[in-house]
Amino acid sequence: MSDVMETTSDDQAKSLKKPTKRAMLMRGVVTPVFGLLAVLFIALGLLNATIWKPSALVVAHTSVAGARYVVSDPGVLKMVDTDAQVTVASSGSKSTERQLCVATGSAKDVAGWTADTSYTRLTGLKDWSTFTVKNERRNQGGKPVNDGGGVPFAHSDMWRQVTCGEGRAHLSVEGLTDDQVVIVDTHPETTTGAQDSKHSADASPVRISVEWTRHQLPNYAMPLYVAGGVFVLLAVFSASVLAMDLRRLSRKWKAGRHDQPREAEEVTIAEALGGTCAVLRSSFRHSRRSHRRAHAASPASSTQPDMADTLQADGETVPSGQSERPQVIDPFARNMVAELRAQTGVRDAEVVRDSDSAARSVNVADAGQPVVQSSVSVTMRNDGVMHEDGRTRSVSSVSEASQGEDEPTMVYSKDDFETYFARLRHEDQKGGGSGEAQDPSNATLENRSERDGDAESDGTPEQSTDSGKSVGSHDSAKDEEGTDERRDGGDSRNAGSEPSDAGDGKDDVDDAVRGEQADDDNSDETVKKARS
Amino acid sequence: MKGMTKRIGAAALVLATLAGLTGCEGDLPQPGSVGSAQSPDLTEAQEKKIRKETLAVLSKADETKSPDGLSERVTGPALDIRTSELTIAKATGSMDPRATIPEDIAQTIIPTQTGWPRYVFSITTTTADQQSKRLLVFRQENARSNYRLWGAARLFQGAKLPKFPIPQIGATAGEADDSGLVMTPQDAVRQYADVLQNDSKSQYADKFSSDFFREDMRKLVSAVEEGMQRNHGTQSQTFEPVKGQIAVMRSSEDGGDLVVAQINSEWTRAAGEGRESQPASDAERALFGGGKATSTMKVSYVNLVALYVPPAGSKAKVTAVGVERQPIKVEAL
Repeated sequence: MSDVMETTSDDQAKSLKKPTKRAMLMRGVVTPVFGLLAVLFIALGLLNATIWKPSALVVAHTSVAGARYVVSDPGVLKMVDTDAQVTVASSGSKSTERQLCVATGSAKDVAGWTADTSYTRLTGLKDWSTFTVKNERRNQGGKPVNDGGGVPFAHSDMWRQVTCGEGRAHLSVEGLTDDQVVIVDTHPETTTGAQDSKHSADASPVRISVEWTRHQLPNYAMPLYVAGGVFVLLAVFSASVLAMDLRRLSRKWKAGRHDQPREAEEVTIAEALGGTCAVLRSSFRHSRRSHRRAHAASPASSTQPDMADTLQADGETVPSGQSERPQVIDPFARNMVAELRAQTGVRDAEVVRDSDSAARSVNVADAGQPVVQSSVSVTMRNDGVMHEDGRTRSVSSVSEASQGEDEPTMVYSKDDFETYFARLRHEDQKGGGSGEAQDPSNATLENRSERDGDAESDGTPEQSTDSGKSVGSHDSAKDEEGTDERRDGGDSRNAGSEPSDAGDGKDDVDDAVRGEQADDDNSDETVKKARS
Repeated sequence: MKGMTKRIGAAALVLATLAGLTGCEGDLPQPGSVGSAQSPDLTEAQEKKIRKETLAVLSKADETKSPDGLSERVTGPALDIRTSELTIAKATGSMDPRATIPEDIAQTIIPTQTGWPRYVFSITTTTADQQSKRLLVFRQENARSNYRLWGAARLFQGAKLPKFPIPQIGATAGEADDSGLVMTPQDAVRQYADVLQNDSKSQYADKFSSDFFREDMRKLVSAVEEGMQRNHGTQSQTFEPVKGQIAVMRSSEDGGDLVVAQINSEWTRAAGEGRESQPASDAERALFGGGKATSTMKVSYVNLVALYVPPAGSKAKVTAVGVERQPIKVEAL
């Protein structure tokens, strides 16, 4: 075995000393290339984010002459950004005296206003600083547009915003919608329709400019950063993984597998994980039946199978590591009672003598103490075990397990189940609807006072079961303890009255008192039964 | 050397490609295709501005008791009614409290129309003296004119109006010949006029549910009739809908229509036994002015009625939900 080890280490030494051709190629050529590309792309990204960043301010303009109205097409103003600044200025002589108006309204309103008139349309952007325009010529047909004199442009109800000025007008529009357009009136003082396109007044051109401040800029830096990052990863990858000689590695690995002197102290990660999984699996499988096992091993210890050999409840020590495979000790899988009985021959619940982790199970030995019983069920609950009448079950299971030791994992025998269900059925028939009422505790406890002690304790498991079906609806301390997983069984027992159950405060005290009495009876009863 | 050249060439090619990645402003945007969803004719802010300006014109006229300047913001039946009210107020000294229009609204119904004329319905709150809400109808004749108050009807107490879409979405304007209802709006107005004239003897009486206006009219007519009989006089009233003066709005929930229309009426009272027929109220007296009374007096009224026409197939009847009635002319025949 040691020879094999020596060979392997020689191999390893050899492989470490001389770099392979592949590694040289990878690390010497490919990695630098990738690295350079990564640097290049990141540098370009930085440039695009700073110097070559697209500018947020866009100003487009056009000059219009000859038409009275200038109208933007729907959607044109919104192209660049939803906020825009529209400025209209007249150029030419007498430019400062000329009235200009600009308004914004819906496309259909503007279309109605400019019906039967000629106007110029702003149809789009030729480049980032110029509009494309189109002239719309309409036949006047001699029909006056206005009906009894239309309102002046600035007074129309249709415009959402309107502003006028001499020589220059400026309008700031926010929240542009698809159908919102801008209309410019270059001669607002003229009101009669027939004069719309044939005014003899100043026909000098009007300059219209729209300014946007883009809120959403195209991001050219991000793809370059991403590419740079990819190249960085590739460089790292090629320097490390791709440089490795897989054939040599696999050979080494295979060789290493055969001569495993298992070091007792060292555990590989895989083994540890495997052990944990096995433990969890088996604990889940036995969760329902492992009341006793729960107190045999603390939760911490259960996840470390390798240390379980030191925590055997019954004092047994299974040496781990002496076999080839890792030994997974599942404390839950052991029927300690059966083992103990085998050792000591004691039938009663004097189960565990030593072991710190089994300290709780010592409580079981004090069978007959109702308080203890509750803590048993508490422990079980902490382990995620939910039982309808865990308390009674635990006691009986302690006793029953002493009978059935053929299967170390089985706590209840089939007879047990049948007995239980038969009793349940019997009680159902006898008790009638006492278990279904929303507040049965009062009723049943009243009933109980009329029955004898046996009947009272008989009624208890059934009560617990029923209340298990309708959680939270009973205010009997006893019932709640069995069913309410939220509350600590001991507390509920001791507190007696549950403040959350309104209106039964004083009844709770009674319940608690009676409950304790009933518990005493119950435990006596079932222990007696176990013994019989 | 060749390898060197190749390498330089490759590097240059790479750089050239990368240079293309450095976009400047980005792609030139194109105007997107505009959706075909209709937008409301007005925003709520615009409606409020129109209403405020209209009420300012009205209150100015109230102060001066002169109908001059009303036509800037008032038109149609509302103009007739308001002018009459101002004339009466000038004679009596104060405006009729029924003419009050509150400043705030409870609801506005703005349609999504592309053509003209356009209507906007606004329902005010109750008045300060707990009178019922008013239904205001604004009308824009064409694109080059402004919205003007076309009608203001007082809604009956407890009248139930159908639901309309919110102003942000916009309602659907209706037509006088809308189908899909128990009768077209035009027919509803015509038949209601007949019912007003003939009351229960009308052939259409069973198509309309009873309402305050008809009850009021009934009481009024019977009172006048009593007086007439004592004097051996006669009286008659005719109701005639006015063509073209109708505004229709389609409701959203059930498809019924809210119809506001003008019905003119004339009340002719002939005193018997050679007596003179005098104006019957202060209002009539003010409108009559100082004219010479004869044995017959004819009073012309403008009635603005608001009807709810249910959709076809429903068991409901046409119901009047509001009315405004005002004498506008008193003449001796």
